[in-house]
Amino acid sequence: MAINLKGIISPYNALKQAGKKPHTVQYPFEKKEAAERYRGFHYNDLEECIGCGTCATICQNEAIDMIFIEGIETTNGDSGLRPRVDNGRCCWCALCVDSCPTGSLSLTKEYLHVSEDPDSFLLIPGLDNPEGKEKISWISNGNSLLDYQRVPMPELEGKERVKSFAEVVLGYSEEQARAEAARCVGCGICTDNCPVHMHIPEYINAIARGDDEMAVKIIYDNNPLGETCGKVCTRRCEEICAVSKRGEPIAIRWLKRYATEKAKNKDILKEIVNPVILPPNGHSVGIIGAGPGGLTVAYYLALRGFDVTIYEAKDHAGGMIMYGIPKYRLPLDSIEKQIEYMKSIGVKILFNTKVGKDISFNELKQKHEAIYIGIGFEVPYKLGIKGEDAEGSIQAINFLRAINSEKHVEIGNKVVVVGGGNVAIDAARVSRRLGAEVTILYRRRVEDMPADWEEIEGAEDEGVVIHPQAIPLEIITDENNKVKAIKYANAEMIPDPKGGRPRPKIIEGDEHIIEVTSVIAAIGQEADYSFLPDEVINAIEIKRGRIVVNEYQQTKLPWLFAGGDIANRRADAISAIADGYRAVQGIEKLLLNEDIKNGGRLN
Amino acid sequence: MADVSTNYLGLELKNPIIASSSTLTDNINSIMELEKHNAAAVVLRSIFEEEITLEADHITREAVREGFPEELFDYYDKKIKQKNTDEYLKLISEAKAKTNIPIIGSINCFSAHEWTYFAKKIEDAGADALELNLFLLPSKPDSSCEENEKLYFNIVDKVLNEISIPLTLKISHYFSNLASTIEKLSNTGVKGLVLFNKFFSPDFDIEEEKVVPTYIFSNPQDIALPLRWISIMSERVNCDLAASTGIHDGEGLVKQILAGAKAVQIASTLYKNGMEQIDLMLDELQNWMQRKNYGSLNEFRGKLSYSKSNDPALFERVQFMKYFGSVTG
Repeated sequence: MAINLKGIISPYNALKQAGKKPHTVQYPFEKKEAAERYRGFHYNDLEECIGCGTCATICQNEAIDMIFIEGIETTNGDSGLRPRVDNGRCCWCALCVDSCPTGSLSLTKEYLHVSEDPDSFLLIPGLDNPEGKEKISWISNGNSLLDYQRVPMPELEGKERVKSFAEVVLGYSEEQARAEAARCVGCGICTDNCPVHMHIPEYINAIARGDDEMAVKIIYDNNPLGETCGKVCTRRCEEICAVSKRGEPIAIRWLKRYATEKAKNKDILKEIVNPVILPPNGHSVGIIGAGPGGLTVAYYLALRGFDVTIYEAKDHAGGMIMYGIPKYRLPLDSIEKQIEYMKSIGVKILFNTKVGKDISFNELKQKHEAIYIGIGFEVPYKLGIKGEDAEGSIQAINFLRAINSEKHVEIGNKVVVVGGGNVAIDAARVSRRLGAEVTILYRRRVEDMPADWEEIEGAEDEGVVIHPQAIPLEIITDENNKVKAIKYANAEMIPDPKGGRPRPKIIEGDEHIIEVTSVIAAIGQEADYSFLPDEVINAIEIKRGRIVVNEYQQTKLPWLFAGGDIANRRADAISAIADGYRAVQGIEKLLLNEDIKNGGRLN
Repeated sequence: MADVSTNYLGLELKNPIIASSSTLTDNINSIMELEKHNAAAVVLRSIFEEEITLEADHITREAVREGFPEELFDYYDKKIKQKNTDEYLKLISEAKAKTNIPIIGSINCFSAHEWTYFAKKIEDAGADALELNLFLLPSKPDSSCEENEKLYFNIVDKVLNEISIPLTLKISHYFSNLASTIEKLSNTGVKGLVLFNKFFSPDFDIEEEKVVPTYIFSNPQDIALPLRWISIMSERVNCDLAASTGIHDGEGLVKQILAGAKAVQIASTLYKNGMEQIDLMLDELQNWMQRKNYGSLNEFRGKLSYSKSNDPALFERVQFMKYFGSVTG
């Protein structure tokens, strides 16, 4: 047998390699620097993130879930959740980053993770890798899939507006509405801040899909004055819109307006909403005041089979939305359509029926098993200065009520409005439409004005002059006790050592006089509870002019509920509607649930 | 019985004791009780500008703590003021309807602006006179004496323009030239001056190491300050003088009339001794007048005033010199 020498020597040849440097990669590995725009592990700025969950929704691999993290609390505008990424599923496509509304989510150059523990691939970006902040390589700036610019709402020009009471806002076209609705990421953060918790993402999604009627149905599920809110809502939803973190919030109010205006009359509205009306359940509820809260109670109770009657002191329903808000913001036909629809489903309204005058409260108590009070704040505060009772010195709330009732009010050509809230702005803008030059005197700074900023801007566009830090001292009158001028003093702002708003202090001697034809006071209102019998007043609690209620709007008298301005903290229509909605649940529990009925109070 | 009637601010008073502005004069039952015990007139509890501001602040802060937006209470002070002033005007009307003694309204203010309007309302409600309780503690180093004093004259001027009922001022002694200021104020058209108002004074709790209110009532010894100034000024002013602070008994009452006061205002002694103290003080006055053979107050009013006393220099001494000292040991 021949010996294969090569076969004997070859293994030893390997020995000569022993002295050489190895060609393998050393352990631990030397990490290669990733490319500038590498898409590695996620990093999340936990402070910027609001837990909207858009990243989780968009992820095609279902690699992201939203979890609570200790130390991050749920607030209005922040769900308290934060994304957790399963890097076993992630494909680093960056779709989550590119659709993150706040821009808190990013990708880093980090890409290496070796572990036998599958759970270790679950990463809470920002929490588990705080060092990732220094290694960010992919952000959504320039890559964002979101549109941060709102579709502008067509409006009348300022100069045109003051010529009539025509509605200022012209409304979205279908194309504009679809485009605006498409901007919404559908996160639902907005619903937390809406007092009614309306189904905002759902109806916006319906509009985006082109199903406007579905949008209307969704809106009416928990708001029977959707069209009103579509025109004049204070839209706290938009304040916390996720998209607003880096751009303009979704025009939620205007989209609601677009959808609800599709129902041109109450019959179409009824056909679209197609409400389910339960058969009569034999229970009767009286409602004092046909404002937004009272109407909401009446609407939903009527749907649930209750016999409801609203006692309204005036000849139209709507309360402040009818008599307080000018028609260029909320036209009469819009209100009437909504009211007529409610009446068509069984809501009864007794107009010109003032409780305490035309019918006593005790009579109501005998007629109904439960009563809801929603009388609003209609008694104005007085200025408390000389000349206030002169001819031409007007309370804004009376002024707006008269104008909205199509009555003539003589204000002349030069008006001063005193105050800084929405009523003051409304009075000023109405006065402009009546042809007057208008100056607003407000005792604090412009930024302290309680009025909505867009109302302030609208007033300025229309030529209203705002004079902040001005305190009226006297209304000067002529020999016929008619307003001739107003004397005011400029004020300096004194910081509040306890952290409140700076307070105005008159600068002694810095006094001025403006010649005017009218002075309109708009410094606040309060409720008139004089219709309530003493035993009721004594049994309930009234604090700072507001009736104290529980979470069902129930007063300390089990059968008595209250809502709207007289019971809530916001004094706007949507809050009154929310109160009404809660009261419906309370009344329903009280009258239909025997246990609660016997127990009295709901809490 | 001696005639103890007096004329103060042009008002005929059956005696010189006026119930001073206090919580004893803030409700109709108490006012009627004061009348029953022979108070010659009542100064209603002051409506305090500062109190209204503080109440509005307090309510707003409390509301904000409970989650209300601060803007919701933007002009809440106006509501509080309106409520307080409405109640005040109602009290005046009620007091006028249910008593037969002069009712004097009272405003405690540190600015003139809106209060001049309220002064008119007080007149319209039926008050017989108005007392302005001017509270201007000269505690700001950057304000000159002239500036401080000017505020008094501004307020007086504005209120006088508004009302036709008699106006009286209750002032403090915090003036750099008190005699001159009192004299000048008496020439403004006011019908009377009340010397002096009693301020809230701070004290320290040294255990808790915090600032606390001091004892709020006057003591009989406190009579010395108004007594001196009533004496010094009673012959020099063009209006009536009323004495206030430290008048607790008949003796104090007699002293102030001897000094030249047209009337006295009392409150602390009513809190301490009850309203019957008025009757007691009047008895003491009667007894003293009988003992001294005086038939009316005018017979001895001002007898010990600066210009009529046997030793006016005593009023001007401020140091405890040996010659004047009576304290021994």
